[in-house]
Amino acid sequence: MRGLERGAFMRGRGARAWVAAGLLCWGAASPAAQEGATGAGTGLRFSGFGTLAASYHDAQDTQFRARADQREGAQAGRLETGIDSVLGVQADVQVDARWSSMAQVVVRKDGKGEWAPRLSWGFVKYSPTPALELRAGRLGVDIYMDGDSPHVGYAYTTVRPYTDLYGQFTFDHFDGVDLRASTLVGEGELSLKLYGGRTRGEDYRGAHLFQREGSSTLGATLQWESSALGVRLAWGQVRTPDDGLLAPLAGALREVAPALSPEVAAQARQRAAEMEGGNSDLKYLGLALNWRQGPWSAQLIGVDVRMNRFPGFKGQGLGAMLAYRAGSWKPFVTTSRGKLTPQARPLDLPVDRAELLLVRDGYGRATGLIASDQYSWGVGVRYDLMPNAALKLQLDRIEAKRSSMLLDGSGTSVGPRGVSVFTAALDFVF
Amino acid sequence: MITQRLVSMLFGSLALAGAVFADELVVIAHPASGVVALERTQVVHLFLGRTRALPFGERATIYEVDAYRAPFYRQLVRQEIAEVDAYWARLRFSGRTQPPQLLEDGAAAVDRVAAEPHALAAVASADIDERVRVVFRLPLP
Repeated sequence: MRGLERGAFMRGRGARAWVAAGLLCWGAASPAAQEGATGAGTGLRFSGFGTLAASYHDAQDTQFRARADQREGAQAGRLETGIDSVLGVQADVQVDARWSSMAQVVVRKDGKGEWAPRLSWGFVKYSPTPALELRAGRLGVDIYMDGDSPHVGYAYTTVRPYTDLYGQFTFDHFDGVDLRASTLVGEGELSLKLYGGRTRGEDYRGAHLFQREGSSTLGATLQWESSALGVRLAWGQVRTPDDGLLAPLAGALREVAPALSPEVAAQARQRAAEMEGGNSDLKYLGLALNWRQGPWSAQLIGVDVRMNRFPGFKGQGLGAMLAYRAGSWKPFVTTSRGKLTPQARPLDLPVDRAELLLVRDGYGRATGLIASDQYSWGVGVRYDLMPNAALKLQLDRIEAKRSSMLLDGSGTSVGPRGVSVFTAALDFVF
Repeated sequence: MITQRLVSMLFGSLALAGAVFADELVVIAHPASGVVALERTQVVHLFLGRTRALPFGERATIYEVDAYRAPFYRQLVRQEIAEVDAYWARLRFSGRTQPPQLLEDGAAAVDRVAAEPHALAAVASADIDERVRVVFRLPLP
């Protein structure tokens, strides 16, 4: 195995595969599981989900992506299946009334452009009472206000979560623990979840493959849900150690500073110090409302994001959906807006000095690489053609003043751009 | 042939939107479970996985019958079965909880409840016998 040859046995995909195998073996070897799945809810159970989807648009020199960790997007005039297609397989082991485990592997196009399996969930759960759960292992971050996972298209009305809101969130899982306590209140259930752990893995952004090692995650979710109304408030923080990506630029600024005017030199040294600021924190706060009344359903989601990684970012997102269920048909309309703004970090390098061109260009990319201001509206229909399978057709119009989700033909973030994307998706569970 | 099947599937789906289940649907429990009656809210919480606890704290095992699912949830929570299935997909694939166990017919559900003191099942009133107790009745639509 490649992991063994490199001496990285406990990292990457090798570790994940072993974790998944261990969980399954532990559960399958237990006495209750040995009796087979004939007991009252005990035993081993396999299930899965998937989405077969194709997207199309005709906007020249534009690649449509649903997530910032997708290396390539859908290009004009071509059907692209890698944007939303996914396959997930899950094994659940119910050992007894209190102990259980679950492992879920998801296959989708990764940051390298390969269809690669990834352990999305893998944990052991202890539930001493029906109202209390403690889980340890690979868990999901509660950033998706319409559910706990973006992968299960069958659980959603639309083809995908709002790209404008969630496209930038590429770290949706961590290795750690979560604790959930719940109680019944009136017609609904009130729950509080606390979670924390380490975020691992890699994601692709702006032509770079970022390795997430040593990032830590903390979060809390307060939720009340009944058949007619759901309210979810989520807070989270991801702390990432300095990956050194900006170190060369910081060094270059210090190197050129002596040749600058005193004021600009002070600016350059200040910016260099800010780039080497150590850990970076990303904090998010989200609120979601889900309403159902008869055949009508509506959803409203708001997200606020703060990130202090140089140059610092502030972001807001808003999404809304209205749908109507008529038998197996569920037409819907959606709208969303996402804005991620880098903070101003002026650096008045003189433009008439050719030797500063590379530094000036690098600084411009560092302060403007991740920026987005786009809104979308969409119309579509979901058709539940049989139990556990739904066909979705969705047309989205995306208008961007600036987008780090849309790319041009060379793979660079774009300025003002508009694109209409048509997607057909078949979601299923088994 | 394929066209005919697609057309019949389409019109069948529209027709099911207004279908009415003729028999009364009930929730049954074991006579020794200690459960005498359940309120509608309690039935909703149990069958939608919000709690696994019976009124006195015992862990419940919930059973459904495939043929009764659609009319049961349509009457209980005013939602089509596709919405309920999407709800369960969200819970299943985030490791929250598993949906009720599905049985092939009402007789199998009655047998299970009669054999398991903490089991509940949603069946048609025509399925029940003296081995089980009705703890909740869905009003006829």
